[in-house]
Amino acid sequence: MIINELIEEKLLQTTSLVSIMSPLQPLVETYEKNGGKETIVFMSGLPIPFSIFLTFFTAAYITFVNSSDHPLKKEDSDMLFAIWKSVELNNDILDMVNLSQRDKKPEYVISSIIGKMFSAYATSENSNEQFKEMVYRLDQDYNTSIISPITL
Amino acid sequence: MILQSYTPVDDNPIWEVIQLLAKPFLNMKNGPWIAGGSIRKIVTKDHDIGTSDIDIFCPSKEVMSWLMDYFDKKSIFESKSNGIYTYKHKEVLYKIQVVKNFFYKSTEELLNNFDFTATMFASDGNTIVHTQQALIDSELKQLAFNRIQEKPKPTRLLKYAKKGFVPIPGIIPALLGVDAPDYIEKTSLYYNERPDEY
Repeated sequence: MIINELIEEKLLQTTSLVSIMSPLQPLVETYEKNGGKETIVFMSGLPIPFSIFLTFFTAAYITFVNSSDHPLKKEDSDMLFAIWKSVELNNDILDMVNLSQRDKKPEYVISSIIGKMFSAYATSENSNEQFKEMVYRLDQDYNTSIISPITL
Repeated sequence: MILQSYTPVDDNPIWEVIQLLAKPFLNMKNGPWIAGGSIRKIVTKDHDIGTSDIDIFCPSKEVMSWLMDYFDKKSIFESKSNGIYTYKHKEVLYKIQVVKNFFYKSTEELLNNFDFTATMFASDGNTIVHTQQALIDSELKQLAFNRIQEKPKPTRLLKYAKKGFVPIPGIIPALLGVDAPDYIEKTSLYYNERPDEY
């Protein structure tokens, strides 16, 4: 984890605060330090490492969008359930969560934030297209962030 | 496909299980092989089997039937069920799976069947072979396609994100089934165009 020391500072930056605090348009940034890279997603004031974000995001996507497009086999459902149960966040993440969400368990906080994001997109009549747009936007933001990382 | 070889030297318990259970019947040239995530863990010096299976791949249905019969007669397993055998080693349970529906004529064919580059490892219990890209992507924990799947499975992204892998751009829409082939090819295939010497 290469950005711990910058998290609090990041949250105090007013220029990016709107994106950082938005549950609908996460801010994706990649940081580079000593040859290592780490992508962080800022959502509702919470900095989430990209792989952890993706775990929750994909699980939510399967739950919200799956339906007829990707019917889950039983073993997939079992794996999904097992992953949800087994998500563990390390102390770095716990420290980050404590910056903004002191009273709740981090896995609950992250799943709740991402659930709100999907719920917001699900209000439209054509939800699946909205979800696809959301996936594109996330991927493009991610692509942009790794092409132009922020060097620490 | 240019393959590199690696000979494990540490005391990885996953490697020990492979030595104990499978080394006598594995063969790098003709199979069977052990391949995939369990072998990656040995190369990356990860001693925790986690949720990975030790997958055994066979060259034919006949060899697969012989192998299952061989395992079925052994009384060393904690449980046996339909080609999946649970083995206890140093208080850790290992799930050994004989892959039943896919057969391969060579190591290259086997490796090329994997969807992600970071899974392209195979072993005969003596050495491990892999592509250079498999090593790079494993060490970077980077998820890149070896080949695009005709039927994307979001659970594959879930599984690898849970393992800490971060996909290269294009993988997320591809695995979530967002239908835009041009976009996916433009953003992710360039990784496959890198030479093996990369």
